[in-house]
Amino acid sequence: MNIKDMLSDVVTDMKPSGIRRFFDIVAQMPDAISLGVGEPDFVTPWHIRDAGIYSLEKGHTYYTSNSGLIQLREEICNYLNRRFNVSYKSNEVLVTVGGSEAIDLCVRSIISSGDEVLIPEPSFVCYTPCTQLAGGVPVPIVTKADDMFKLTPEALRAAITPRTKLLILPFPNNPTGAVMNREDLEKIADVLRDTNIMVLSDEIYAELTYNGRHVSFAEIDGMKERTVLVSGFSKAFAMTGWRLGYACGHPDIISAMTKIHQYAIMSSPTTSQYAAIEAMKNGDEDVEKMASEYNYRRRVILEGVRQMGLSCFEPYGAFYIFPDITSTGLSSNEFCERLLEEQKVAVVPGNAFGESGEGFVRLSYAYSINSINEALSRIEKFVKKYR
Amino acid sequence: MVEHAAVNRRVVGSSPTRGANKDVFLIEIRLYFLHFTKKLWKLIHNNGIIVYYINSAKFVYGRMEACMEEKILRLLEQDSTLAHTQIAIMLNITIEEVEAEIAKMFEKGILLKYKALINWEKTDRELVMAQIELRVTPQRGEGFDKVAERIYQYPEVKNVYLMSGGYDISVMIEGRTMKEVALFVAEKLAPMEFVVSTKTHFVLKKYKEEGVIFDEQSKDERSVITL
Repeated sequence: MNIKDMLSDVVTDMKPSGIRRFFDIVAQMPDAISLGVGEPDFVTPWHIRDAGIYSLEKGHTYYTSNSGLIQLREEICNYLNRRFNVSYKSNEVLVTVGGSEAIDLCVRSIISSGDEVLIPEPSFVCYTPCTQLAGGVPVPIVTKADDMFKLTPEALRAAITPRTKLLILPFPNNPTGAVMNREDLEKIADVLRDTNIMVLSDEIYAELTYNGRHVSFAEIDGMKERTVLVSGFSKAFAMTGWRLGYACGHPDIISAMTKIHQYAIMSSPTTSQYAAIEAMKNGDEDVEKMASEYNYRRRVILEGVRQMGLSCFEPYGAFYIFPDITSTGLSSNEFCERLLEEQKVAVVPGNAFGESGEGFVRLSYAYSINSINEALSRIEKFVKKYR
Repeated sequence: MVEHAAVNRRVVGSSPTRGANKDVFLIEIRLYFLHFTKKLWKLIHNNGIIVYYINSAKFVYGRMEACMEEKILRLLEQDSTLAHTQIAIMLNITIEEVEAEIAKMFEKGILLKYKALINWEKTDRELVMAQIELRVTPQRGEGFDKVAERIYQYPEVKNVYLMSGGYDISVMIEGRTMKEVALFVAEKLAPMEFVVSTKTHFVLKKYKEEGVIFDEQSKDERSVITL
């Protein structure tokens, strides 16, 4: 029996990542210094870890309700109201295994075979495969450096067809660091207003914006009903390993998503949920401290990259910058492979996040200032050689 | 006091703290009914809270960013070897402004000295530390300050604090051996006329100092690349 033949068509047809080869090379160089990581370098604040430990001591080791602990869902509502001025009730919240599960559930709950999903690119890598697994058709919308990698109403309008069912709004954006402010979102809302297009607003980086408070798409007039707000604890509270996120939306969508979640997952990790209650209640100050630290590093890395002559728009969100490397005459893959070989610095080729990311690389600044400085000086040597 | 305004109004002002003129912060107010009294407004303002006025019932608020002086201090507290150019980039101000702020803080006695935090236990040098609890009689007209002054002049004395609670003054002493420390207490501290009693506690192990954990392994456990 050839096991490969036994795999489902949809999985077989899923494209492997374009940078598989690069990953393999990286795996063989564990001593490389890296600006390649998409998770905070901070350890989870102690009071949050302590709350998780305490829940274990108390013996909270059972399943929770499918949609998550009621106390956590209520605290999520309070938090979203307090920090982002969006109001949800606890029955409009589902606690998931990371934001990633929430994305998958949302797409699967909305998309039927042949439905089109609009995906601004470059963006995080999961939207396209999730769409394909649900039988939908991913439709990339290219965002450009000239527009600061924002989704423009014109580009959106041009991509809409009668089969369009869902728009992904991945802002603040991984990998570009782009943010959409209130005016930008209002223009998007104007395009959507007379349509039946739903919105999956992936706001996992909402706490990490550096030019004012993040505006949720659910806060835009008339958009809340059609929006599924996805977020989580990983980036804001440095809790990636706890695997905890959530989705908020219309009760009909949340209960549809809960149906899938119930069969696939049962309930999110209990210890993580107890820790998350502490994060929601008493974590605001940690978030602000970390965000301020990221902001310092953002300025350092942006200045460094511009000093070496690479053009880079100023990103105001997440913890990435996305410089244009075409002036080196190298492709994204070549740049990253040679940088790794010659200077032992790992960064991520932009085309890992969609074809429109070609010509760019993603540098993460979730590293100490010293590591950033060391990496910058090596990248500078490299860039000087090729320019 | 009721004030009406139809549109968003952005108020940009400079920080109320001295020496922080570049530290512009933003108060975004959706002004439909602004019913703060001037006094309340000032209170919020001075305590560094940004108020987002959403509608007549709701506010979103957050701490105002710390003033520039404090930001520089926080950075130096973490790493006093940070170059001034680096601080300037991090805080988005000019290097001249950084230098002026730092010079001013030295002048005002806010910044005293840059030094290294050392784990002597990892060196060959023998070092003994002890914390001495002193009960003393405050001096007429001088209170405890004169007492402290007599004590802190000794180079063996590393820290001197006036304490609340069961004793008056805490003294941290450093020496090469336990005997040396004990003799210092017996010969120098205890005989002082204002000292009522001493209690010596030797430090056996240091776990954390100045916010730094001594035995912490700071290895980056993350994968080299994640998307």
